[in-house]
Amino acid sequence: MPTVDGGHVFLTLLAPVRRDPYRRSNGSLSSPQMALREALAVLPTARQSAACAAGPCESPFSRNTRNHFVRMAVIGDAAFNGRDASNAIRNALRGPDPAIPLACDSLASPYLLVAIDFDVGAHPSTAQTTYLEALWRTMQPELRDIFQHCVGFDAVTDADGFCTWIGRCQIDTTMPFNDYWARPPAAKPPGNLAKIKGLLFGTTFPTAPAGDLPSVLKALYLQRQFVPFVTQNQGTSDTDLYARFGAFVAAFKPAESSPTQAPGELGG
Amino acid sequence: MPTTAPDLLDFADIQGNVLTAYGKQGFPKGCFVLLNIRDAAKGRALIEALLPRVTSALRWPSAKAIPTGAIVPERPLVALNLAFTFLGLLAVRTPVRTLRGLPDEFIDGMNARACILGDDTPADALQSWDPVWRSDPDPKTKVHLLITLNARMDPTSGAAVPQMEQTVTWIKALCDASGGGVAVLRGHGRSGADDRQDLSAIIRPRPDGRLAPLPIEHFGFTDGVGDPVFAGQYPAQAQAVRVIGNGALTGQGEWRPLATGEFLLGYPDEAQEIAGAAMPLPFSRNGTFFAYRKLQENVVAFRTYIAASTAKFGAVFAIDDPTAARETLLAKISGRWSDGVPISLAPNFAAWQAFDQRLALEGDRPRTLSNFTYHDDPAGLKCPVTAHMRRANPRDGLDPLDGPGLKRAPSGSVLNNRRRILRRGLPYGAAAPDATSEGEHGLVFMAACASLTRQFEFVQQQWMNYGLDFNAGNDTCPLVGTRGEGAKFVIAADPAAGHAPFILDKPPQFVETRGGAYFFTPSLTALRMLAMGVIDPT
Repeated sequence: MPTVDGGHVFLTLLAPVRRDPYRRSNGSLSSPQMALREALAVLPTARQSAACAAGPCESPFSRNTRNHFVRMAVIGDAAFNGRDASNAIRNALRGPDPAIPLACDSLASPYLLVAIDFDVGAHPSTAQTTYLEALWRTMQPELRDIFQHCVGFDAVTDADGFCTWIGRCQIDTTMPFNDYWARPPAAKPPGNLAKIKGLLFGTTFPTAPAGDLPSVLKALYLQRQFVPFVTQNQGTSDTDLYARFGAFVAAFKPAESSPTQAPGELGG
Repeated sequence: MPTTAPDLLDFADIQGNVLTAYGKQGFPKGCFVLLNIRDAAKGRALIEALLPRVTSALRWPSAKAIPTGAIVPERPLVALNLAFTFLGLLAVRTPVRTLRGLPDEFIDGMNARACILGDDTPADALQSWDPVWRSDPDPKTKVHLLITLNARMDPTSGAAVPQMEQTVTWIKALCDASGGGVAVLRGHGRSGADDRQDLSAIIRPRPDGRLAPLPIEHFGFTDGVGDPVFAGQYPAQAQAVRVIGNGALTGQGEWRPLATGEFLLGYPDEAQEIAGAAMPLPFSRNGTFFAYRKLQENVVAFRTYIAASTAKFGAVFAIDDPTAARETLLAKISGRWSDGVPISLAPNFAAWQAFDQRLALEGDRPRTLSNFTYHDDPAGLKCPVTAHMRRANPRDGLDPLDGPGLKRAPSGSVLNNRRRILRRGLPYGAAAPDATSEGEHGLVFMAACASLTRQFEFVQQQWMNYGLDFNAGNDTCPLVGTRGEGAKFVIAADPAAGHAPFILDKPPQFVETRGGAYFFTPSLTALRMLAMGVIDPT
């Protein structure tokens, strides 16, 4: 299943939210779902707008260099879509009696949906573990603020426990997206076995060129620098342009990892 | 039985006054304060300050022996709850896309719905409302936020615990600190000078000298006996007991809990739909609407009229004893005897006395007083079809499939299931025997429901102020109805009893509206959103 695709891990979690009241530090009791929504509401986002950039806060997920995006949402309950469609005349003759309510499903608890897209990194077999360890190391307080409202997290005391707990909440990702492949990569014609496997489980892509976060950040950084360079050098003679472009390359080093922009910073 | 919610609702997210009639839970004193928000940021800051004090529906230990869950909240001395008018939500800058999802009648407000509610009868009735509730064009007089305080009582003095007054002082201090951003509104009472609505259950001394609240109102009727039971409200065992007489009645004569969506937004209702609501759904879910009604009880007119009618009624109904005649007349008007026993279960004075004697020895009184139907009394020989209680909750009395010669199975309370309301509130003022017409004495009645128009307004317009559903033409409720020309109340008589029916002729208006508004009672989640000013309707 394509939880890992295109050099990215598409981590999907459905963590059941606790139902017993949550006691706050001031002694008052709250709904865990409410407290969870509150924790998410005050979690800083990336600096993706002027308002965010003006403030002092930064998404804690920017403390690592593998994170492409994180989205979290609380699923309060399954929405009931109403009675099953049926023929009213037939119902009048044979039933069912519309005055008798149909059963409607309800979730046993709310769920926290977490969807994260992060780099596989150099060692695919340990990609998820090393990523989660990095989260635990860099943003444990924020993780606790959020996940304390989920079932079973109270037993988590260290990075190993965190990885195990995440594993229990993880579901397979069945619809990843590959936005770093402009067009599908060329591939050898698949054998019959590979074709059957592809039909059953879908086809995965190899790592896209420059599709890891540091490369993307560098590309964004260069893009931000290059636009004013072009604007300022309109009408410049070829000779001057050549010289200035040389200075641009020397200053911003497109082939090197630095200088670049920090994770979580989208820029203008 | 439909499964319309998880086993139990998220009580910590629901305001306590939705699920609990505080008066019956040991909070017989009340004080309601109305605020006007003039600065959105200051208004949000006030909500933020109040939020930790808001009483949720988490169940504390009580004598009713309903399980509380593993984490038990402390029983507060003062319960505090918040509710907003539409203008109040606007004042704290709730997004337009959220506001537009609110229902029309809530946006209109109660004053604008006077012609539906009967509040325009007589023509100048709205002018008798307390000034704070009138439709004054000055935006600084508009009701935005209702803070309800329900307090426990000192049984020695009969006064509220001092914490209630301290809480009022604290709220006023918060408003003062807002620098004019939020103001406590004046205008309660006849003079309009009061900045609060004080409430109290009627208090009487017990044999041991301590004072105790009584579950009665100023006319002397026992109030608040029944209350709808809906899915998710009680643990299974408690629900099985409480649903009898208070839930929905199936065609097979079984009681089931009503759908949660009749009383809380965001859940399937009795139509098996999750009704449209203000978005995002977490803003609406676990919230509900309240119709707030300050109902002045004209005790002098009531006592005078009943006294004058008792002899005539006794003569027609062949009841010689004046006390029995008076009590029977009152029971026919109300649908319950003065101590709450349904006249359907004890159809005459002697039966009532015997019923009470049996009940004193055995039985669960609250449960027994709810457990009845109108199946065996279609003509209202026991309980008149237009008695107050039967109008307010006709149970199976309107079942079109219940009757002799009908081939289909009865449908129980199906025509009533979408018209139920949770009744909250407390009396105000005092009505001593020498009370005058000018005195303040009545009831602040609060009806909670998911749809004000489908539930509260329908009951008020069609069942309280009209009689056609009961084959009673224009007759209005003998207790709370408005009075037009030729008002009357027909008390049917069993032909076998050998006496004629009795018609109560031109009863005066016993109850007058003195103010009110429609409020949205948000969940704790929605209050948090309002306080933070972060409501994303997308």
